[in-house]
This record gives sequence, structure tokens and C-alpha cells, in this order.
Amino acid sequence: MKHFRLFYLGGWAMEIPAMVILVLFTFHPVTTHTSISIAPGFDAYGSLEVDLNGGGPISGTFESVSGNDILFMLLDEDQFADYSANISHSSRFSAISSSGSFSIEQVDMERCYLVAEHATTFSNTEEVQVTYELSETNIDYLFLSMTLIIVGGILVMYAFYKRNKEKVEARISTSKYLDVVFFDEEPKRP
Amino acid sequence: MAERRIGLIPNATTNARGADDECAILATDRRLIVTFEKPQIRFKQGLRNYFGKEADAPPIPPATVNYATVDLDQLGKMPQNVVIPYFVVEKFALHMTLGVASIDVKYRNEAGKSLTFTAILVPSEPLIKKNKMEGIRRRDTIKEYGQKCQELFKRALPSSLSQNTEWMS
Repeated sequence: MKHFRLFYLGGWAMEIPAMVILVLFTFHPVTTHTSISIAPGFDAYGSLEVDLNGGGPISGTFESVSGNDILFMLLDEDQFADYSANISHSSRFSAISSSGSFSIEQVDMERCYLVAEHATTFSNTEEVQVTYELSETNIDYLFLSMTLIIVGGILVMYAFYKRNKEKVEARISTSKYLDVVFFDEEPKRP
Repeated sequence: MAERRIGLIPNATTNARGADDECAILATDRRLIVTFEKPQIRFKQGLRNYFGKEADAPPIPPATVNYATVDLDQLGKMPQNVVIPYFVVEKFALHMTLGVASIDVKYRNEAGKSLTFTAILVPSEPLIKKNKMEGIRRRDTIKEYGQKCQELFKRALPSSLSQNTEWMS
């Protein structure tokens, strides 16, 4: 096997894993399990600030440990400010239930707030299990895949360069004809 | 009277076989014989050739063919080659576009079907590199090659065809 083929194969041996890392691991979703605690009382609520890493979809589930219904909301920053100030507000998502799921595709939020408050029973501390999923870029994998793509690309290009050079050199040494040849130098027939 | 060889264009590019292919054009006083650099290789065969030992020994080495002595009938009968006798040529045109010469040969095949053979007359990279080492610029090599091709066709084509051809200035 000619050595340029080793560079070629070596290059692709880097490119393919790099693509796999880039597609499967670099932009993979990150799942977080956490809980929100709601103190006893009519106005009590529990909240969780979630950084959306520059915007992106968020989806997840909630479930109250006691099985009591709760009011679960997903608010953006303005809505949460109004909610905290006890001003009338809207929400990106809201549900009254002991458990449920939510999914927000809008990507116009830098951060969001998961808010839970009592819905039926106000005298006990309520624990709410929350699981949410964010799409996140893994910088280490991104750096690794980019490095492999660049190095592999250089190897493949070098293989093509060597192959072309060898072909040209072989042709110069073996070819009888490089330029236009006139076999018969007689003038054109009438 | 024996068929007389007029000249050889050792490098041209044509898509006569569906994809861009390097070929050589041998002009005699009776016909043009287009010989291909490589036989038509299917994808699977190409892969096997590329990674296997077969690649080291090309199946047909046209670079080593001696066109001055090769049997013309044998060359014409090789399945990968294209033969265009002058008597079936309806129109021959030689163009110069962006400094590169090309030919369009409109002819009828044995079945009477009208076909056009198109080829770009570019010198091979080894010639360009060889000339470059002698101080001749790439553009000049390509232009000079086109002019030599024109001279060859002027000598090879019969007068009836040659008079109706628009040549490069």
C-alpha cells in the first residue's frame, strides 16, 4: 500500500469519530433532577431559576411528593418579576395538578423560572420533584471534535497532494507524449 | 492506400462517457481515434482498485502506447475508444473560450443517430509543470497547446470539412 493511502485512511479515521462526537455528544441534551420546596402558607411559593445557556428549548416533568395538587408555572424574567411583586402576570406554562409535563420550544428567553405554589392544601410543606432537559454544548467535546476534524482534514489533503504529485511524476517519467505530436511533417495535402 | 497518421493530441478532457475523462486524440487522414486514459470503471471496482494492489498496475497504460507504430485498426476496435471517420462528420468546430481550446464534432454513428463529441484541449499537468520549470507560464502553455491542436486539425481534416470550419484567429 502506498504511503499516501495511509495518510488518507488516517485522515478519515479521525474525521469519522470527530463527526460522531460532534453529532452525538457535543450538542446532547442535559437532564437535571431537582426539587422545589413550598413552605406552608397561603402566599408561599418555591421557585427555581434555570439558565437556558443563551436560549433554547426546555422540557420536563413535575410531581408533588405528597400527591396533592399544586400550581406549577414556567415564567420568563418579566413574568417572574411581576409574580414576585404580586402583580397580575401571564405565564409560558401553567398547570394545576399533582404531576405533569411541560415543554417550551420558544428560544427567546435567557433564563426562566420554574415556580410551584400550593393549590389545595396550604398548611404543609410541599416538596415538588422536577426534572428538566436542556440542550447544552459540551465545550470539551466540541474542542476535541474540531481538533480531529482539522487534523484529519490536513491529513486527507496531504494524501491528495502526495497522490497527485506521484501521478504527475510517474507520468513525466513514463509518458512518450506530453505535447501535441505531428507524425508527418509534410505540408497539408491538397 | 494505407491510412496515414497526421498527429496526436496526447491530452484532452471529454464527457463522452458520461463523466469527465482524460483522453488522447489520434488524427489520421481518414478518422479521429479517441483513446481513453482509463477504462470505464464502476464504483465497486474503483474502490477495489484504489485500496488493493491492482491500483499499482493500471489495466491499460496509454502513456506507454507508441502511437507512431500502434496498429490503427486494433486501436480503433478497442471497446473503450471512440472512432469518428471524417465522412460521417457533419460539422467540426474549434472554439477558444477563456484561453482554452475546445472542439465540437457533430457526426452520425453507424445507426444514423446524430451525436456530438465535445472535448476540451488542455495540456496535461506534467507538460504545464515541465514548461513552468523552463519559465513558460501556464496560460501560455495552454494557449500554445490549443494553437498546435488547431494546426493538427487543419492538416488532418479533409478540405471539404476544413473549409467549413471556423478556426481560431
